[in-house]
Amino acid sequence: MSGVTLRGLFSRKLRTILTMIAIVLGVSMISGTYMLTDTINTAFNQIFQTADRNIDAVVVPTSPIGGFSGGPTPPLPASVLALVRHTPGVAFAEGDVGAEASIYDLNGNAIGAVGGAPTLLFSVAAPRFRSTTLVSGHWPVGNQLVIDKTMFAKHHLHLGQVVKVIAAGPATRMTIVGTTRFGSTGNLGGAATIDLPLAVAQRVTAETGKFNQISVAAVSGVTPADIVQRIRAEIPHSLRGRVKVETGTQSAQDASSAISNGLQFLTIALLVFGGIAVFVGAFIIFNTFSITIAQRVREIGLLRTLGATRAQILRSVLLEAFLIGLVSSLLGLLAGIGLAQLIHAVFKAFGADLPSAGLVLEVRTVIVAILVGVLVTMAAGFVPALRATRVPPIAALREGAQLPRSRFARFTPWIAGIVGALGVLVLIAGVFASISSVGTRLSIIGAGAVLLFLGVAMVTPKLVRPLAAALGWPIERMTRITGMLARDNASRNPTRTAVTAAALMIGLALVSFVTIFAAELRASADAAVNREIAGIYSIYNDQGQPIPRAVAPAVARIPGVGAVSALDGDAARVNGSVSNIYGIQPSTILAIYRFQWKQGSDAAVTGMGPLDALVSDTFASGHKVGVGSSLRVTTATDRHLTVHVVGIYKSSQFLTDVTLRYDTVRSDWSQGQDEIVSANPRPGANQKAVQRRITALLKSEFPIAAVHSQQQIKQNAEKSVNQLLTLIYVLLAMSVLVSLFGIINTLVLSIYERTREIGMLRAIGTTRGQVRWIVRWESVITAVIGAILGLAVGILLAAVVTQGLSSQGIVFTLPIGSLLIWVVFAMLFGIVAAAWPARRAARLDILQAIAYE
Amino acid sequence: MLEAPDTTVTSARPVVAAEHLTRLYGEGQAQVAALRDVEVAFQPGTFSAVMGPSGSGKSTLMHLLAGLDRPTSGTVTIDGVELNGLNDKKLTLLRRQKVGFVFQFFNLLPMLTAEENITLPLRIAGERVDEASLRQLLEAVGLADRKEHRPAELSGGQQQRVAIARALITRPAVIFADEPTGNLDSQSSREVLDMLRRAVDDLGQTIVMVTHDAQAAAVADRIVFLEDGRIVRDEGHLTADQILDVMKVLR
Repeated sequence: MSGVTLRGLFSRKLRTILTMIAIVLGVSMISGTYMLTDTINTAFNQIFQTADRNIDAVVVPTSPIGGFSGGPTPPLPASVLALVRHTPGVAFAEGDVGAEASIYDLNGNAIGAVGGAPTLLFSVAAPRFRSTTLVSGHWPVGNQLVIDKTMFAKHHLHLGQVVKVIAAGPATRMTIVGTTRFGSTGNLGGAATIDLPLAVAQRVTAETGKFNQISVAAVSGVTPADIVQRIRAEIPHSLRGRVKVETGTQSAQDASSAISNGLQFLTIALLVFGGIAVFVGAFIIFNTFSITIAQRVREIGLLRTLGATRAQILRSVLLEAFLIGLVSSLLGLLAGIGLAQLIHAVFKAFGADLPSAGLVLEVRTVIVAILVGVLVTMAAGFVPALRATRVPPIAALREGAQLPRSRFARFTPWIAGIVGALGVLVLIAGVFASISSVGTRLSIIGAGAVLLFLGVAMVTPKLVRPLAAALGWPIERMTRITGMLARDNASRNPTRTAVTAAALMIGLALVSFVTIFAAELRASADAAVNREIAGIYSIYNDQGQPIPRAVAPAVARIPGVGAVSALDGDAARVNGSVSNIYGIQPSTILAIYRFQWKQGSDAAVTGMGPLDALVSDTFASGHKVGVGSSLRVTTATDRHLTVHVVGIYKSSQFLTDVTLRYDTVRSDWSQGQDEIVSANPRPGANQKAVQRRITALLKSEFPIAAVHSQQQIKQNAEKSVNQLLTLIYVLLAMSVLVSLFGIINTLVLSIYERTREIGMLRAIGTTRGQVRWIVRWESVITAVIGAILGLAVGILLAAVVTQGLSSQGIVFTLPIGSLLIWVVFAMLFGIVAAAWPARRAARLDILQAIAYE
Repeated sequence: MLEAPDTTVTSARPVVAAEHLTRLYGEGQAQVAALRDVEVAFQPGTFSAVMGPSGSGKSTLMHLLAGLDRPTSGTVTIDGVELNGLNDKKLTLLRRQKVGFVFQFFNLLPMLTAEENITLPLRIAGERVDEASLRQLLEAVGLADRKEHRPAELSGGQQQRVAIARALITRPAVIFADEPTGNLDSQSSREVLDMLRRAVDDLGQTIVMVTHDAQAAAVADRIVFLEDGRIVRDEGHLTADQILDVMKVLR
């Protein structure tokens, strides 16, 4: 029997290849994701190993609020370095500074990494600890720096050039005196790096006398583990919670696992989109097997008359599925290599030069790719295989024998209804149930969506005829016979059309869901700006970096500027959990920000004492606190204070958990910089002229900050939503591409079945052009059925999810125009999918088409 | 009954004519001549049968005469138009306007009703369907009460009658019937042949029928016998028995 299977696969080469593409694409996305993230992880691992290779132990500060604190951890005091140096067994110890910084040329143009990678500032390490090598020039002294050679070349810098370096401290002019490279390869994983003399680095980062890391070399004979133990013993009790001592190797491992944790979100997101593509591929596999088995009914009947048992037929079809799955998985792996390299190249083109250490192919990647490909193909082929076993031997003798209906066929509408309803219920549960883990919530919502898709797909065969009739009507009016035949062809085998359309439905449901959701986000951002922002000028850094504290007083001195208010933000531990805290200036905040009060009033702000706090409604309900409650706050600098709630405002995208007086915690922010400075013009001042003056000041003194009007804030919000939207569209494109092959596959198989009909049509005077349009319109009808169902499911998904987010100010909207664009897209998609099948149909040889047997 | 087509202009010349028609298949050693230098012409309003043993070239001849295939050499003229030199599009439009087909396997579209199948050629041509003549045609083929049925709901004979009506509806210059009774029982065969005969007698339709069946050929006015790609006999009306005698000699 296996010989028959194999020969069958080869003789049906074309459809086998088309079927395989459906699985290859999904598997390539999954394996490509693994390869990409494994490669990035490995490369960073190498970077950190190189950086820490001669260091026996490191002493670093840890955050007292624990976990992810949002800002950098406050540095170690100089006393810790003295302690370490006096520890027996320490041969050499030095304090280092490392922080994010910004570099500008003297015209205020940013010099640095692009595409999200940071610019990192380091103090020059002692020669024994250095992981960078000087490429040209000399190591810096005084107000000098060296810069990595990639950045040096990218920005066409030259030795002797003066640049401006800005971190938490005062902006400082410095001269470039050399270039460096990292390790043996080049730069630090796409980040721009500059090295400064220690004292200068401390001044620029406002950490005079402090360090971000102490690197230690032990005397010979003392192991890294020993020296770590000895240093730990020296750390006084008062510092125990704020200092971490570990070996250089551990430190490198910690840093790499921090990177891989950071990549985990990307990995999961990409895998989810790969999984969607595989799910869509399963529909195509199911359809192809159903069609090809129907076309082989006589062949199967013949095998049965020759004595093949049902079990043998089942095994034969499943073996076919297994082989297709296996070969597709292997091809998917190969394609994944290409895909990973493509994404890498795209990152590089956008300037994020990720470190590359050659593509990493883990055994896990191979196993997952093969398992996913084979299991999904076999699962999708199982129902058609079962139906194949029900072909009676007599089928061999019948002309045009039909595949017997499954025993469960009459229950299908019931099963479909139950599955679909269950999907909606699970979806609602996922959205509304109180679940603390975002991951769990999203998984439940995803499971609901999958059930909903399956339910709708099972119902679709019943919808094909009415939908095809409705869609075919205008086409028939327009094109007469070709439209009529296309409509009839689309509805003569409703299940086939339904499954083909359902594959596209999934992609378009998700596309329309994100289209709606993005429109809602844009609208809510606009509404929030209109409702809450009173300041005319908002000054902040576009990349979300903090801006120097000196900005606010400098802006206030500009003629024509009235109220100026600075806002700071940080993370702190409040009543036991990490929360966002904001510092506001009560005397000026009301001029630039309108609180949406739940309890309390503006008077609570103006009368705010040093230990008074305002909290958001979500924080209040989450922590079960109200006006009059006290909150225990632990800052990143390990200061403890107790504050009292005097007002509750509605949570917004500008102010969330807890708001304190700016001066209460000013000295305890981890980064000592502001988030936003907002200002208004003096009454009667020329608004535009004042904005020009602020712009000029920022450009010359604080290039890190830029002034934004309310309109620009909205535009920026819109831009970031649109960027995310584009990214999701690109990721969903793979699923939509899979469904494209689904339509091609169905059309090719149907045309094969209708060879004689097409021959007759051609004989009685149908032109090739007409034949092409019959195929194209059928494809368009199928695609638009998919689009309509997709839009319906997408709108349902969006409505449910929006309802769940109504407390966040998200209001359900229907961007009809954008959604209609997707219907138009589906029509074009149908025409594109039909291109090749239509050509094949038009080129059929009439004589062969009408020949006897 | 339907009006007879206006044959006054074309009465002087044949509807379909072939000159020096040769069709070779394959190349070199493996080359086979399906048709060798055939000369034949069919006059308007005649019912001709083409007979011959399997492989005699009768199907090839029909395909060439109908413009479905192109000769290796020689010419075919349909209603005064020479087919050589017509591109696929022009040839298709010529078939649409001047040629009708009846096939052995009926070749109806399963999703269309009988009426829709009959009017298909008009719709393909983008022409309006004249309701009155459609009704007459349905009456003539005896399917007035079956016009809403789909092919699967019709017997073989009924399906073939739909196919004949489909061929007649455009009033083509010539109808080619390819083994029209090959898939029918004898009762249905008689009905179908009767219908073709009436189309010739009542409407002046020209029909060229390829067949194996002596009973079928006996309905024709003229019988052309092929053997090894050549016309070996060209007779007027013969009875079934006479035809069988000729065929015995040919085999």
